[in-house]
Amino acid sequence: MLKSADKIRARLASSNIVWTSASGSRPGKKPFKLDVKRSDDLLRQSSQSSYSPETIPVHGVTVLESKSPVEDLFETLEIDDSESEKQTSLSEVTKISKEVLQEGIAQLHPKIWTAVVDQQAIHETLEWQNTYKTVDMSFEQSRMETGNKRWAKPWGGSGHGYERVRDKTGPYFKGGAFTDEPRRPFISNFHMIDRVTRVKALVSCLTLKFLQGDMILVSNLSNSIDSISKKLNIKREPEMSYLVLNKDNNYPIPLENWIRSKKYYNLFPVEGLNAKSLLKYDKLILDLETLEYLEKRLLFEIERFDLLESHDEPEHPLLNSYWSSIMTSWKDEKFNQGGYRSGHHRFYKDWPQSF
Amino acid sequence: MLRTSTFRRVATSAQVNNINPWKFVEDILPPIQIPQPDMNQKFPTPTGWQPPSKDLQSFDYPFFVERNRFHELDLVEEERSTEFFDLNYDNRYQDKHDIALRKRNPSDDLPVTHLYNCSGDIFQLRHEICQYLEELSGEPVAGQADEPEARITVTGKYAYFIREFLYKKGF
Repeated sequence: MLKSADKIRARLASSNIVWTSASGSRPGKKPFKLDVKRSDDLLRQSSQSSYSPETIPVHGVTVLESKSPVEDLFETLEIDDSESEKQTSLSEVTKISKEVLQEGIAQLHPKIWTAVVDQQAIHETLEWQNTYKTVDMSFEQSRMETGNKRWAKPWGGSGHGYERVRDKTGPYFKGGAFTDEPRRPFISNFHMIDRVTRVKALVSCLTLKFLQGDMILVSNLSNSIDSISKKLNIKREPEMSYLVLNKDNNYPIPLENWIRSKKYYNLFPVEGLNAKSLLKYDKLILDLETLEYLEKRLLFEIERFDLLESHDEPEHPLLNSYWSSIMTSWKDEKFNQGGYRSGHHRFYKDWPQSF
Repeated sequence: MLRTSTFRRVATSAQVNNINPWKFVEDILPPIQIPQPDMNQKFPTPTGWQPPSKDLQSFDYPFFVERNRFHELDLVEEERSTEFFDLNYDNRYQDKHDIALRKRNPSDDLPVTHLYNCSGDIFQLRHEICQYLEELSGEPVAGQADEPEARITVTGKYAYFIREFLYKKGF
């Protein structure tokens, strides 16, 4: 029921209120006092703030043998649970009961799993992933390919106010006057993005997966993945897609055969990990070996120092026109930007012997 | 007359294929992996470097400043004059940005210090840094806290003093 405008205006005028809240003033409600010294004290002192400071993570990969219950999963950021299957077979009974238990606690490296999420890097990497393999194969149609009927008079002869024409293919028409050989070579959209950006995007996606609870650490990659993931799927969401990471292309054969039949489980080697797949799949399943290998590779990329890349080589201002003259200037220069700078040599001598 | 005798033979022996054209360059360049610092020495080192303290977790600060890959605190002093494209060598090629840089008023350049890899309650850290620097210098110091970039920017060239302050804290 709407109150009349007069009553509201009278109330406002009498109590000298500039604006009112929707709930109005309740008898028990006390005014919220603030001792504001700085503008951001408001955020700090208000009880509604969900901002909690980040703790200092410790890095290392250790697996403890203690069997502690699954509680306080989000107390500190560096603890993650690895779950495994335990077979308890009773000696004289045919039934075998399998339980999904937490086998221990693993520690994750903070630079990879609690890194600052760079959305700009993720966007650039996704754009790059979608376009770097594309090839521009567009072409100009010849007269026969336009689809216009041959010698189809647009208007019959004289009397309409326009010139006499046989068909709409002459130079006086927009989209007309094409030659017999309108093809051009394909233009490839191949370009590379800075390694730093790609690494940042990968690390940001892994951080998202961990902090949003989409990471599952398993002691053995095997058929047990099914039961573990189902047990962790507390809300019983249907159609949950899983990204199962393995160190190499050489997957354990029973796992490979089992996963071939599964629709929502996908096997990836660590080389095949990319930002788009990490965001596409719901959950990420890792083995402890795979985790160690992945962390090693990523840390190498994060902490490496190439002397040749450390100083900016001022790009010659004529490089853009050089690339476009090679690729022919059929299209705008933006398609030819970022021609791959060849001539960079990777010095493998001082890379680690094995990852 | 057959032309086989005039064909040039391509050498395929192992000696020829083993040539590494980058050998002399590789010998000069430093390794890609950055070495870990030697922790069995007295700190601070003669240069003034200090590792993060072992009791850092127990101090329980609401913020955290990481070290960069060179095990240093990432402090960068910047002024607009350092952005020049090198026209000393070749001034035939210049675009509108080079011209704008030359035509700007240099008294509008602001000297500024950046501190990277800050996480946690960045606003608290900025407040503390600004307080400390204002006490030191006596003049007002403005600070910018950029959370997604994990960076704090401070007007003035205070890299040495910020480093001292953070070493005292234990970062």
